[in-house]
Amino acid sequence: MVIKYKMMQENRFNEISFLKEWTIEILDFFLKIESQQEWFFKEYIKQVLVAYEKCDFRGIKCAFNDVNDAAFDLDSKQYKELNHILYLKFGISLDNQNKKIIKKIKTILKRGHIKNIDEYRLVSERVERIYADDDKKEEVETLNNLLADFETKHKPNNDQ
Amino acid sequence: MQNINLYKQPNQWICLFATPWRGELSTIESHILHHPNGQVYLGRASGFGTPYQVMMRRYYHHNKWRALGFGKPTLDKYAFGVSGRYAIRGREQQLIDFYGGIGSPKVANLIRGVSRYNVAGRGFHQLSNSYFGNIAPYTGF
Repeated sequence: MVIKYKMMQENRFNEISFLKEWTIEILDFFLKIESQQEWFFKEYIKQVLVAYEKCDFRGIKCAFNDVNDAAFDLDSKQYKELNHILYLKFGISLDNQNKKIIKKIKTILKRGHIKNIDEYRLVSERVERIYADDDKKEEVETLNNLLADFETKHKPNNDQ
Repeated sequence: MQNINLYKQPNQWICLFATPWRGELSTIESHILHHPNGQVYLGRASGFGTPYQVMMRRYYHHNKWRALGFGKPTLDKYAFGVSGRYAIRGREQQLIDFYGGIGSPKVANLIRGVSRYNVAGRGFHQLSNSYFGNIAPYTGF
């Protein structure tokens, strides 16, 4: 039991370390390409480090999702450059992260409902990303229905 | 003759010919949907095209809000690039707070635009202030 708990703690620590490193690597890249907002990206990096020191898993996860989302909006040249940097450092790229998101979305679709606000945000971001893609009309409609269903069953929440 | 659109970013002017355009530069905008009963839905969208085109395309896919009678989409602000994206994130949350916040009878949104737990929440807020000016105080942790 104790060993299992220790292993879980270790996995958690490894995961939060990875999220921090990944997030900062992307923020460093953003800082390089948009140096006119240097103060913002430096502050962002500082806040990620503070969250890491506090073992604020949720906070770092938010930042991780945000930077990945923003990276998907880069132009193709910058996207490739960032992907290359990430691949060299971590052995995985943004495309791998995208696949993970799609996998999570598929799990939600299979389940047929959204469980919590984190999933609600994930699905909303997915809709935001694909709504204009004519090939994904069906997926957009299904996800919109899941969002609407969640919205009718949950009260407004200003705490999360 | 084709339209010439000028879009202003904080530090530069971008001259964009030939409306609509589709290029590498993604536009991000914030918008307001109005209900005849006075409620508002505050949202954001990104994509290719003019800010107005992006907003209208997003509005077309807001099935639920349209079905509930939300219309008159009004373009609020727009920006470009990664910083612009984060400025709009902050703007969306400021708009929600400006109209009373989540849970206010005036606001139809169910959740915050920026999670209270988001470590960059204050940064988004400040970036939005520098892009568009402040309309509401910071409400995150």
